[in-house]
Amino acid sequence: MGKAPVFLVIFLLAGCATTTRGPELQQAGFSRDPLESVNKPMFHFNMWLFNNVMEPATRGYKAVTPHFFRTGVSNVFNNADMPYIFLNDFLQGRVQKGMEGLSRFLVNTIFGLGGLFDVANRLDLPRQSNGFGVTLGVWGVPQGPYLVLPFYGPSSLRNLPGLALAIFASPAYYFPSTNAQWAYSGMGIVNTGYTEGGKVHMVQEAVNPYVFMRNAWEQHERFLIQGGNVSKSELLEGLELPGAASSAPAVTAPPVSVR
Amino acid sequence: MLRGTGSLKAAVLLAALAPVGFYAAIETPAVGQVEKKAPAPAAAAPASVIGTLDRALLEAMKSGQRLGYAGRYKRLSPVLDRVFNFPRIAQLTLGSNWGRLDPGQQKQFVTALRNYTIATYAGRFDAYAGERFAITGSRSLQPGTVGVFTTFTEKNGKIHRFDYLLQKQGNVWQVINVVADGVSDLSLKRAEYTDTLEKKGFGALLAHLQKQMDAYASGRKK
Repeated sequence: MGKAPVFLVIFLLAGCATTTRGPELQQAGFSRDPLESVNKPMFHFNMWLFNNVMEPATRGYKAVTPHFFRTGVSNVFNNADMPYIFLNDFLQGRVQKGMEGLSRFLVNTIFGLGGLFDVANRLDLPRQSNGFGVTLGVWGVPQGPYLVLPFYGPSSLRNLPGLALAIFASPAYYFPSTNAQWAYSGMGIVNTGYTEGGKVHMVQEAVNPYVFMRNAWEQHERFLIQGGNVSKSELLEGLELPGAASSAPAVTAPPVSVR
Repeated sequence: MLRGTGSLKAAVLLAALAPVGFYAAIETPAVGQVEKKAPAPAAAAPASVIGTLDRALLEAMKSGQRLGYAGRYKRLSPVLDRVFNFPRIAQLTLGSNWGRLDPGQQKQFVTALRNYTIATYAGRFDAYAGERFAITGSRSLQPGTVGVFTTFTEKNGKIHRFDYLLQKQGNVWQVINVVADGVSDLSLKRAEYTDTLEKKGFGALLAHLQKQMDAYASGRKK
């Protein structure tokens, strides 16, 4: 229940499937999109919802609140996401990242007044990204068909179990009052529109928003599963150069501390 | 996945700006570090190219409001023309469709892609809030192709990874692709442009790019 905001947040990023009909796209390494006929209408529905509900709500939010208030709200929701993030780090066996996430959560909860202030950034404990779909990917579970979920956005069969886990990891689930859960969820939706709106616009402005979003989502998911590494073969993908090391071993680029 | 989304949007954003840079500031000392770490001359030059790009973007951001869109466009154009190999990027982007265009259309597309890229940078790199760029290393990936690896740190401390691919054109190293948090700009553009070409035609692709450029110029888009 307390997940409505999160769902909306993600649906905003909805959409995108590649036709994968052409050799160009298959060459680019994207999966097939067997559910495109369902995904595409869902993508457009989500975008309609963004344009007609989220965006007006965001305009109102910005009109009646000062900037520091919106920053504080955003910090609180970011902090509330942290348990889900570091839990998945540990499930993936990435202990250092998990400890960093746990530290970030504790620092911001205790010294940042429940996450209102992002103190951890000053201690070199930046935000990370993670999810149970990534964890399953690390464990070797294949992605399965690409999905666009209503209110939620880009996903895949592999990511569906993560939706349930995210609900249980949300603070709202443990609120004693239903009204409090609705209030938290509603604020989360508004915050999502505020923080994500610019990026949704970027998707909408792409030459082909559906294709753009799907490909971006799939590539980024692969990046997270690989622990923030991009292999040499992935870097060279699509260059079609004579002697391109398509058969060369995938040598990861120099490790970079990326969260 | 939920939390992955935040990063995804950032990646999408960055990849879209990909051949670009970011709302960032380059850490000049880091560039120096890279050059120390990569003594091979072939690897040092590409890193310098990316350093040039980042410094130009930083300058555009810091004086963004004073310059306005037109000023930023004018300031960034010569730098991006030097840093990016637009004809090569155009060819790679369209893949096999490139050969189906006549020479006039190919020239049109290169020009449109070049103008669109500059417009995107000029439109989006308009303000500075403490973001940082840093070059972390470079490596030869295959003969004639070098990767320059960088990070972009947002004002909230979140770190993103940007990998630039450069190839030598004559005696100059130029960018042909940017991979932002694992999202390849070349792959994105190839997928959506190919789809649009096949379904709507060359004219529709050019018209869309022009529409986006007009939106940047008019301030309707950021």
